Amino acid sequence: MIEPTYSAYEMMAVVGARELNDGEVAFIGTGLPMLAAQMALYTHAPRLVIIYESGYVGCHNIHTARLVGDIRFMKGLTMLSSMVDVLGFLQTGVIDVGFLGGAQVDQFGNINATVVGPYEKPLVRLPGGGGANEIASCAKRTIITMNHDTRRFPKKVDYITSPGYLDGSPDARKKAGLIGDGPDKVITDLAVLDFDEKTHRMRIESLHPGITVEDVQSRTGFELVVPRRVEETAPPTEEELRILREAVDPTGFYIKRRAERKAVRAGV
Amino acid sequence: MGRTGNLKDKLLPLKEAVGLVSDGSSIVCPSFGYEKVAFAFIRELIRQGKKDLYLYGSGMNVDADMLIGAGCISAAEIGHIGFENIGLAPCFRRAAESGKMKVEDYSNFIMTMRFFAGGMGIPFMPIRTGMGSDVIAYANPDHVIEMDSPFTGEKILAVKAVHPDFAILHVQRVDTEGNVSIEGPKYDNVEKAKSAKCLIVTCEEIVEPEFVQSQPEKTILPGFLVDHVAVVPFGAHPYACYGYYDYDWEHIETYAQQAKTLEGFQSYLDEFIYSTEDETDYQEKLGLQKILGLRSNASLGYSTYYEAIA
Repeated sequence: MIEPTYSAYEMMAVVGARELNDGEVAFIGTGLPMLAAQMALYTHAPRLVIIYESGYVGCHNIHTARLVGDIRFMKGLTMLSSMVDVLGFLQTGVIDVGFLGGAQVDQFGNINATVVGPYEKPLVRLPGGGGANEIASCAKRTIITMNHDTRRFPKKVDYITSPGYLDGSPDARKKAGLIGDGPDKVITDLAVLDFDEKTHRMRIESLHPGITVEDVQSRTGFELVVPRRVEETAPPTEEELRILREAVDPTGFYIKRRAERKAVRAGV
Repeated sequence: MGRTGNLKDKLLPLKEAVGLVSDGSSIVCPSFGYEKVAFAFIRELIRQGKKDLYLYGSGMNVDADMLIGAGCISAAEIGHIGFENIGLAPCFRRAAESGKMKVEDYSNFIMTMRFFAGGMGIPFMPIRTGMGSDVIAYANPDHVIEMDSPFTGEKILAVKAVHPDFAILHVQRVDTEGNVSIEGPKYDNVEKAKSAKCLIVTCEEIVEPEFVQSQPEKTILPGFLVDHVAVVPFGAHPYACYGYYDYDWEHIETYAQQAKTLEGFQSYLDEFIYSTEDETDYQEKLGLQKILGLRSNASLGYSTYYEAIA
């Protein structure tokens, strides 16, 4: 019997998985995207080609990986390559989709993973982008995932680690020399967002059950585009939750850790 | 002329190999995926109190954080220093936020291709990423610049070769001719190793050349590129060495927790580095039971022991 209530984190993993299509070549970043990719593989996308920058191509791991370079990916791996090789794939335009987290995302889908505050004297020094810049630069489309709050959704990020639509102008990416089409979706704990085709501004696509447009807008540091009709995100099915909890993350490495952090923040 | 010669002439005890790295040197310690990192070498750099090292790297984790916290590093050119799903790198945070350490931020690919250029004997590599972002806006123009392709006019990024004074690599095996043979992922370890002026390899064991020749696809570096070798079994701990032992997740989590405060970090160093004379001492502190639990399962290449008892 699967507990039918689910956490916001589980919702994000399931929704993220649904965004990946069978047969696509997906370049996956660390964190929740790793769960979502494996989830997709176990559900509707058994032929998804999962690539990590560490040089892993075609991942079918049986134990939960904790890092993008985890040696757990060696089991069930289609091809063991190198960083030069797989990051090089990106430059040739063969990667269908990139999936990334980060610390901040702005109205044009630019991601910051480097510093909060001024670059020369940061308030918070973040890790830096790793391979995220190349994924965001070159993948045909990019999916971004982040928790939704005003600090994480500023109008302009403090530092563009990974390019979205840059200043939002029509040909900004092309003029910069970027080959990928840019951000496609943003998956948060409140909603799924996409981008207006003309202005490249972030737009609400669907709201998670129980969430209103006002909830999302009040936790966003810029004005969102709100279409006339906003759908409700389909909640995780019992089958999806079972696969996530029993096959993808059976030890709760991601799911429990996230729940514990949330409890600490809430002072529980 | 290559760095030929018998392995006997290249073999050094770990402490002497570390002694070659003088204060102010530039180093790269290939480190991706919490695996095959010359961590014993890093601990010994800290024991010997090295100062003002210039750190080059792409994706780095606990290894870089520990060197930074111990005061060994004054500046770095990086792609990433963080603990991925555990969180931020606390010592790196303190050093960068206080301005004690100078950082040039690039991306992993930019850094990987800078090592690649270094190892290829060419001055730079053209690549197609980094553009439009603040990676180029804040780049040091002596290291990374935009240019137009001389052939097509396309905008590209030119990334300058790096030649660190030392690359320090941990691997499974070196043969008696100094040839380097590995199991599992390569990441960008080969590019980093080839870029350096001096390559030091630490290994789990020395094997006969016939063993290496029976599986030549696992040889990543010929002996003539290797300057020094130190035999350091279990030398990647708390990271993994594929096929030999897994990462020690409990230890990594303990480090991440303790390093959040200066006092906690200091007590970690005191307990595991300053109070241990050498790696034998360090391994005795960890204990035989811990080490046996990390031994790789023969069919997996890693261990499920600690997951199974959790």
